[in-house]
Amino acid sequence: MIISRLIVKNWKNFKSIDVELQERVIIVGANASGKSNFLDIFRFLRDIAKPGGGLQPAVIEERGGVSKIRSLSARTNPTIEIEVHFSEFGTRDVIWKYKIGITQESRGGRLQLIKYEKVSDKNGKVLFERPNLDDEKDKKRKTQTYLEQINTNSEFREIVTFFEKTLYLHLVPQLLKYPRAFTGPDLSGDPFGRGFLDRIAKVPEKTRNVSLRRVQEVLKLAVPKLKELKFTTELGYPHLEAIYEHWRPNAGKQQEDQFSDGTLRMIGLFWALQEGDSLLLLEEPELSLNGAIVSKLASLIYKLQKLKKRQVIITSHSSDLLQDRGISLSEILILEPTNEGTVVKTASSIKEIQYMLDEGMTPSEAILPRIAPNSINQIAFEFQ
Amino acid sequence: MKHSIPLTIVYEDMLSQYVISKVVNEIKYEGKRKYNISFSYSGGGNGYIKKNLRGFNSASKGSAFFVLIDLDNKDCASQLLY
Ligand SMILES: Nc1ncnc2c1ncn2[C@@H]1O[C@H](COP(=O)(O)OP(=O)(O)OP(=O)(O)O)[C@@H](O)[C@H]1O
Ligand SMILES: [Mg+2]
Repeated sequence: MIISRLIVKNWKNFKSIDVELQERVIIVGANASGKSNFLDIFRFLRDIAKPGGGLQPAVIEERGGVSKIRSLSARTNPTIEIEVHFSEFGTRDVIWKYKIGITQESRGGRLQLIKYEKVSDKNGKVLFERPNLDDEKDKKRKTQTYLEQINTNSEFREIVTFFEKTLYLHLVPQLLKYPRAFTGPDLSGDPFGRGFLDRIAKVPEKTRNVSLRRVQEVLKLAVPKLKELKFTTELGYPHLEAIYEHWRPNAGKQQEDQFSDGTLRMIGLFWALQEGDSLLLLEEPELSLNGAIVSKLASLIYKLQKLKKRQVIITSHSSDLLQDRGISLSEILILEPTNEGTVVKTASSIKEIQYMLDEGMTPSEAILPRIAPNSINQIAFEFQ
Repeated sequence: MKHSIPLTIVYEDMLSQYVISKVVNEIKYEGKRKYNISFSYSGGGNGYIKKNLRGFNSASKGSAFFVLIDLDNKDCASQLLY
């Protein structure tokens, strides 16, 4: 399943968003244009739906309250609105719609309340719509969504599971290499620090071998001399081991603490793509990777995401990544800051970009100059 | 005319960028600037523009583009397109 359309109001630096999403989505925009804030919409839904989660912790503990989430450019106390349409991977027919509106109590405990919440299925049949009579009888009910209540969401568990399994991949090589140097729990739901090796360890051996083999094949393209990538355990601790071609036998063996940052990030990425069938959020996957491999990243991601039909949303600053002519303009979202908050456009909706591509320019050549801060050269002038 | 017209500029280097900005800002309509520069395309000097000129030319079907390029020995700008 994928999220095929997203409609949002008053979320952080976005006053209003309404975009179609493809199986692979690449988000581009200048610094502080809201790329991470865009991904945070999906993490927010995840934080509501995950076990032990819920609306109150998702707003307060994870995000510091409604005042941090709602758009500063909107009028006072606006409703934060999120609407999500779902389709099967590879199709555009809507099979589910979920929407939620959130406000804050103006008096009293200033709790965050459901202004409305609604689910409908592929036939347009409304499964429930809030506020309902129960909500009016007991106002406390409005502090919880139906996503977080097992007894109310059985009919649309598919949506709840989708949100819950949404994964934000932000692999920090240092956490993985030196696990003992960092204490405290892993970030829940974003388990690509120290927990990563344990995650690999938990997968049944056969599946693990198949997945690691695929990672290995992709890695070989990027890392010269790599021959094999293996999973091992040593004194009960899980490890990854790489074998490099070397003239001396056994001299070419390395464990994860000796891998390069780029190697670890690629392993995390290509593993995650095969791990589940829910939404995968990738923050700047190009970091610490060589330009030649980044230029192949979009197509590698596509190859691997197809296996599990996993939707992938990527943020990027990389011209190498967008050099790939295989990327369709409908897959690229451009974030344009304006005085009224950031506007999100599909690249295919901008005809100038389409014309440039028709004449042989790449997505990167046509799009990146538009998001570069316009005045950067002028700044240089003014300082001279 | 309420709003100024958005203009995309294409230039070889910082000097020509500065020249374009100066020129564009001088063009007035009813005392106000007629154009505002919305996007800038540049990179790799003359070769960059020549390589992508057909793209910019085609894109100008959508909105106004201003390309500043050294003609060298060509007589006419349109010769650069063919
Ligand atoms: N509630 C809010 N209302 C309006 N703007 C907000 C709100 N919360 C955050 N912002 C703004 O959002 C911007 C940060 O956006 P974000 O971190 O998503 O940028 P980004 O595109 O990921 O940037 P980078 O490329 O640097 O990672 C900041 O300018 C911040 O002021
Ligand atoms: Mg960011």
